[in-house]
This record gives sequence, C-alpha cells and structure tokens, in this order.
Amino acid sequence: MKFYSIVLCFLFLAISGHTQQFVEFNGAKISKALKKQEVDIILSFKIAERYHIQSELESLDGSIATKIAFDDNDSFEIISNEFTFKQNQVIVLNQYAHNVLTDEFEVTVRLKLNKKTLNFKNLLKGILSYQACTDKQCLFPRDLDFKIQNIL
Amino acid sequence: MKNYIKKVIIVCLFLSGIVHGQSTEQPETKETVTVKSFSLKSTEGNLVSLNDYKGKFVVVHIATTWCPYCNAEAPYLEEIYNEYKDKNVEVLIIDVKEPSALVKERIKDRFNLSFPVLLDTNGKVAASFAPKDVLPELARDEIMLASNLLIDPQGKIQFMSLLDTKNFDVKLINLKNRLNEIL
Repeated sequence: MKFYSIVLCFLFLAISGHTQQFVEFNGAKISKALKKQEVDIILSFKIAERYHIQSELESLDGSIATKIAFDDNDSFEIISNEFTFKQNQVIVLNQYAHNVLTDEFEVTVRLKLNKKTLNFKNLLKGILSYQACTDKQCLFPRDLDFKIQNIL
Repeated sequence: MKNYIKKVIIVCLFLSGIVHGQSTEQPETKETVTVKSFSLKSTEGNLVSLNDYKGKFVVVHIATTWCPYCNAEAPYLEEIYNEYKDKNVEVLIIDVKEPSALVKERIKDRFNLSFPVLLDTNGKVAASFAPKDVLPELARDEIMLASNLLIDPQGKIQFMSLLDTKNFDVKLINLKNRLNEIL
C-alpha cells in the first residue's frame, strides 16, 4: 500500500510542478548528407498564439536572447546552428531595436560525423532557452528540452 | 480504499504547495487595495520598508534585468523621481527573483538611478500587487513585470498600469498625468 501512496504522490507532484511552455518542438527534417560527412538537421519550433519570444540576437536592451544548446555526443560534432523564421518583428524601445519572433521558426544544425566512433549514438538532444511575452506580460525564462532519434 | 486515496491526494496537495512555494493567498483587486506594507533589502544592502514612506506618494515599478520593457522605462522613472521628488513623491523599483549584484549592475548602476532598487527574492511582494482577474491561469509572480503603481499617503493604489506592448507608454505619460491630477 505504501508503494502506491509514494507513486501517487510522485505522479501528482510531477503533474503539478510542470512548467507551462510557450514554445513547442515540432520535430525535425534531415537533409541528405553533405560532403565531408556533414549533415544538416532542421529543427522546427512553434510559438504559442498571442506570444512572442526574444530573437536569437543579443540586444543592448538587456533582454534574454533565445539560445539553443546540444548535449555532447561522441558520434558527431556540431559545426553551426542558424535560426530562420517566417515572422520577425522589430520593436523600438527607447533607442534600441528589439527583435522578437512569433509563430514558427527553424534552427538548422550542421553536424560533422565522427568516423572514429564505433558505436554511433543516433540521438540529438538539446535545450532551447527562451523568454516569452504577450502584449500584456513578460514571463520568466524557460527551457524546452527536445530530442531527435534516428538522425541518420 | 476510496477514503485512503482521498487522504493521499490531500497530503499530496499540501506537499505540492510546499514544494512549489505557491501562495494560496488571493490578491485583492486594485479597487479595494490598501497596500500591505513590505520590507525588502535594497541593492545597497539597506532594509527598506513601505512604512518608511508614510505620508508620501510612492511610485512602484516591478522589474527584472531581462525585461526589455522595464529597461526601456527605467530612465523615465529617474526622470519622474527628479521632477517630483520635491512634491512629496518617491520612486522604488522592485526587482523580482534576481541576485543583488546582477540587479545593481544591470539596473541601479546602468541607469544611474538615484532611488532605491529593492530585491524581492521570492517574488511574493510583487505577486501581492497582482489583480486576481489578470491571466489567472499563470503563476501570480509572473503577472506584474513592467507594471507601475502609484500608492498614496494613505496606502491606497491611485494608479496601476499593466504592461501593454501594443500601446507601450515608455515615457510613463499616463502615470505623470495621474500624478499631475492628484498633486
């Protein structure tokens, strides 16, 4: 009986402690292998309706730029990542241009595969860190975990 | 068995309140608010209480270092302080959930502010100002960033602005108009 109590408690705490997210990971597209064992993976993200997040560009207004970080993986090296978006808004606050993203955006990640690795870990894991606002409020920064299996 | 599950859920509810530090206290609406006094440490390490400002008008701005709208308003808060300090008006910034050194560097020193910047380390003071009808689905401490309040000498809220990025009043014209009306 005690076991079930503990399980119930943990389940409840896990649910009630869940941080509300305003960006959703929409999966990935993998481009065909490039030269020199390089591969491009395009990660798609969707920003919740009514919300915007800070752009990936550092700003002089002190806002927290959206960042993406990847877990280490011996099987490949991350060479670059680049944000692309359909909608980008520029708000001028005092003299500073302030860039925000809305709707959807993608991050293109270029990987260089490591030939020497015997056991290929076919998994790309990472965290998107962002800070969201609506027209009426700004929210504390959040981290969104994502992972893609079978990248090759 | 049903009773047992009920008991477990009650205990879990209690525990979840402790674990996540959420206050069950309901904030009042701005129409009914007489602001409860608070005491917070400033970036200079002084304990500052709202009671220290008894008999004065106090402008309170809720901020974080990363809030672009707060940073945009900061120079205009300094302007208000300088323009109205001889008319019995004081200004305070309450920074939410950030360490003192960071706040000192990114707010107090960066904007060369002459008035205190206070540290609401757990966000409870900022949350206590939040009107209960504003986005109730979110945690209370996420409500009030970039908001401005004007508290009168009787401790009543005479003006409250929530963030409105579509009609962003960076120069705090509405707050100034309210000050001019009542002074």
